[in-house]
This record gives sequence, C-alpha cells and structure tokens, in this order.
Amino acid sequence: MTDSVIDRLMQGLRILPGVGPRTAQRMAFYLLQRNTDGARELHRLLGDALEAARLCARCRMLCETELCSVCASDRRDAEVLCVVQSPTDQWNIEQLQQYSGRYFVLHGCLSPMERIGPDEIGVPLLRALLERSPPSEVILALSYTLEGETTASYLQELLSDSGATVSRLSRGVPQGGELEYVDRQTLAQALRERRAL
Amino acid sequence: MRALVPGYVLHRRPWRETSWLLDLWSAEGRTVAIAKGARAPRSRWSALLEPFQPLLLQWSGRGEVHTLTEAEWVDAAAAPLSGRAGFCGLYANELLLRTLLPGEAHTDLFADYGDLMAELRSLPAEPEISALELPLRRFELRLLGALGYALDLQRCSGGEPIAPAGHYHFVPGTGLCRSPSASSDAFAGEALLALGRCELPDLNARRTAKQLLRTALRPLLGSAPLFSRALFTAPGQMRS
Repeated sequence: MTDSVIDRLMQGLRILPGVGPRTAQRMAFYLLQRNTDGARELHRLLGDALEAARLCARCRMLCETELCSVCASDRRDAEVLCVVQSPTDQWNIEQLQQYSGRYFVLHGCLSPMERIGPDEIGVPLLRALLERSPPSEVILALSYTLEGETTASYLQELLSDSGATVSRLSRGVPQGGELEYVDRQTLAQALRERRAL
Repeated sequence: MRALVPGYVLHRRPWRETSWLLDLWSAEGRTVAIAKGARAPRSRWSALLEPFQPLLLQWSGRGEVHTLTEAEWVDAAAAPLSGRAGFCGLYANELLLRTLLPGEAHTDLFADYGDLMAELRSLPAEPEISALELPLRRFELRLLGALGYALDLQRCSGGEPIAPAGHYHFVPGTGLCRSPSASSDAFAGEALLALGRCELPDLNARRTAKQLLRTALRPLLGSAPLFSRALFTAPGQMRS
C-alpha cells in the first residue's frame, strides 16, 4: 500500500485505545464515505477541545477555564478533599451525586520502576493546596493495586501531621458478586474488615 | 508443558488492552511473560498477579517473552505489603530488576528473597525505619554474594583481620582498605564486624552498613539512581 492520506488517517486512528488495524480501516472509510458532515464536525470539535482544554489550576481536573466547575463552585464543601488517580475516576465519583467536597487529580500513581515519582503526580501542587486551605478530611480514592497502595502510603505519611483525617475507600465483595467467585485476597480482606450490623 | 514453580511477580506493566507484561522471578531466575487477558475486568488473575505475593506459576514458549499459562496462590492469600514495608519490597524488586539478567538461575538468592518478603510481612503496621534496615542490608549482602561480589567483612584487601578499633575505606573491586585516620567518610571496624554478623546495634552501625552497601552496589546498578529510594526520603510531613 502507498502512504496515501487515507493510510495515514488509518494509522492516526490507531492511537485510540482498543482500535486495531481492522477497526481503524472501518472508521476511516465510514468517516470519508458515509458521514463526511460528521467527520467535519469531529475535526472541528477535536480542534476546539485541544485548543481550550487545560488542567484546573487548583485540582488538575481537565477543564476549559482557570478553575474547574467544582473548584469554582461555592456550594462545595472545602473541608473535604478527595484524591483520585485520573479525570475518569473523578468523573465517576461525581456521577454518584453523593460527594460534595473537592478533588485533587494525580494523573497517575507512584511507580519507581516506571520512573514515576512524587513530582510526576503533582505532589508539590497538592502540598501547596493543603497549606493554603487545609481540609479536615482527605479521602484517598486510589486503586487497590501495588501502585495505588504505594501512593496511598506515601500520601498518608505526607499528611500524618496535617491534622486532617485520612481515609481510603473500603473494599470487599462487589455488588452482585457471588462469594464463590470472589478472589481469595478480597474475601480475606472482607472478612478481616467485616462490619457489625 | 512445565510444572508449576514457586515464584513472584517483580513488576508488571499494561500490555495491549487487557494483558500484563510481567517480570517474573523464580529459582530459575528472571522470566519475562505475558499474562493474556489478565487485565480484563473479570479476570481470575487480576488479584493474583501482584508483586510480593508468593505464587505458583507456569509459563510456556521459547524466546525472550513467554506466555503465562497458570498462576495459583501458594496457600492462603498473604496480606499485601503496605506502607514502609511496601517501599522496601519495591526497593528489593528494583534491585533485582536492575542487576539480574533473564535466565540466570539464583536458587539461594530466590530463597533469601522469600525470607525477606516473609520478614517484611511480619512487621507491625507502621514499622520504624530502623526495623526495616536489617532485613534490607542482609538481602543486599546476599545479592552481592550471588552476583560474585561478596563482601569480605572479616579481612581487609591485604588479608589482615578487621580490627574493631580500626578505620577502613571501601574500594569497589578491591575491598576494605585500612584508613590512616578516623576521617568522617571512613568506616569503623566495629561497625563492619557487626554487619558481618548481621547485626546493626546502633545508629553508627546502621549508617555504616547503608553507606558501605550503597558504594558496593553502585558499580552493578550503573549511573541511574534507584527510583524507589525516593520513597524513603520522607515526603517531609505537613505541619498544620
């Protein structure tokens, strides 16, 4: 095959997660043949979003203004701070409509082997934020993986003298999960941290 | 098909959409393997293939990258390492990844690693740094031995025994050399002899052991720093 614009488009589409050569081919032909108006609109939207999107100066959430809508709102509880790994996690927690505090987005987790250290996950900015407006509670909404565990331990140490209550999301048997299929680690944890009724 | 062998995951990183690329560590040495589909939401391996967890593993394939075919818990699930013990585990894993090549068998070192994991797991929830140092120093000594760089802590390079009251310098490739004076960067003989007995009785002994092993490991690690060390240079606690 020659290196035509169509080939280059297919190559370009493959940067998307989950898109292999075959899907990229289908997408490219669809955009160029069946839905050129949609393709133009997509082109415009992508350009606009790339131009406007930035990180909130306070919490590092993706937004298009100096402060994101959560940080700019005066209806949010400034006493509670929820630390999340990614904008997706922030979005998912926000969708629950149960949390009224503020956020801080790390954009990753500590991973020495991948050379991701405190600076890469915005610890200096988090420290500045904690000093400027110390919250009374910090919720570490981090994954239960080695990287999440490492990050939680590190932040816990950072916060140990701040006076804030530090908590982590609890873990256990998932909704709709049959005990038979729950992995041993989770089952052991759920048993250790069982709740009185 | 090979039998299941005891092993650990040293490191894992995402591979394609739903798989892990694993650095495995067993008595046979390091192995690189792909765990296909293990990152999928309902994978039976997702909780299993975590570092520090004693596992039974089986892989197949030739060449550099193998395919993981089986993974099981050794016995009851061991509680994951967390906090400072977790930082120590990461440090040990980084040391192994930086110094061992895939395929080199290190049976004794593998047993030492298992002991280290068990020891780290048995520590109280928030251990003092001093409680973590002895297991780490012992593992570093064993690692040097396994790689053929064993430290002689009984004698200096000339063959004369280390004197408790003497002072010594360490020269990589040569060994301990008597220092004419007790300069600030010289090691006290007493502290060296204590390390030889795997004892760290006081702060000076702990400092000596740390400095000596850091110097001895440096030629094996190359110029890049160890990234897990950054976790220990405590974040500097926030004051309210």
